[in-house]
Amino acid sequence: MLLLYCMAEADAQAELPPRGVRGAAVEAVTRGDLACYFSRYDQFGGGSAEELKRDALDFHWAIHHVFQQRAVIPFRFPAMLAEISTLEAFLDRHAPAYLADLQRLRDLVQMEVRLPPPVAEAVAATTSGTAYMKAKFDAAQKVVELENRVKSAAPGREWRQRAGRFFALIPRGEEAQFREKIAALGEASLRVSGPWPPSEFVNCYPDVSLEQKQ
Amino acid sequence: MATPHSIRLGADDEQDISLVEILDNVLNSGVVVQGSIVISLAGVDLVYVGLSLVLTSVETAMKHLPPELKPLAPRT
Repeated sequence: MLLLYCMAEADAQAELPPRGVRGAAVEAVTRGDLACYFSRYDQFGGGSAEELKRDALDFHWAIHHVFQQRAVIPFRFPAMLAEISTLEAFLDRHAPAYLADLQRLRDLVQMEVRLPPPVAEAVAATTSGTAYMKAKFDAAQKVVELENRVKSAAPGREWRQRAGRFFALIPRGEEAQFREKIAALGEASLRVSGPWPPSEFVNCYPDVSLEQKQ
Repeated sequence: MATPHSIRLGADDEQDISLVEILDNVLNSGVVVQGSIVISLAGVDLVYVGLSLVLTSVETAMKHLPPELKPLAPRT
């Protein structure tokens, strides 16, 4: 079986990750200008929570190795397919869409900003219906204000949002500048991480599990 | 300063990214591929759920557990 790491624009000069999950060799299969990185296993699964955590970290490092060289579209851990022919069929079908995404996202990275959870104490401490509604309104207003301030850190850039997390698509190399702008907001509760592969900005997300049942 | 759960990604990276953030990212981002391969027991995807139980919210983990493995609601 195959564990899939990520896809990237094919580059004959690019280095393969030195090792994959559980020390397995990382291979690449190419379809036109698209390369897909994977490792082969006779068996995969089980293990203790610690071992599984280590597997997930190995998975991250393998992707990170490619991501340091160029844009990638990562697979979610653990993305597994039974055999190489299934992977090749998948790539044959979706390579144009993934390549379009990779070309659009070339030289861009994703930065994440986590907002603090809404403050519930002030709402919970209210003693009347009116006070409760006002506290809820004030809390919501604060969140909107904070969101707008966060987005002002990268004006004109593409942003995506999911469950209190904001994702900015910024040029590779401007990560430090982005962090400085977020820090300049003076909101200690904001948590910035990145650079990440721009997963939130990928448009092509086919349901592979459905394909395999056909 | 790096916490015990932080990892320096390399000389080119400005910041530490925490272990939890890395794991959250690999488990919750990216192209989903779930084939017909059995890496599960009693309907539970061991790899995914095993990590989810350790690293993500109870709510997320519960979504991936079959009903017979979900804890009963506390008695009132």
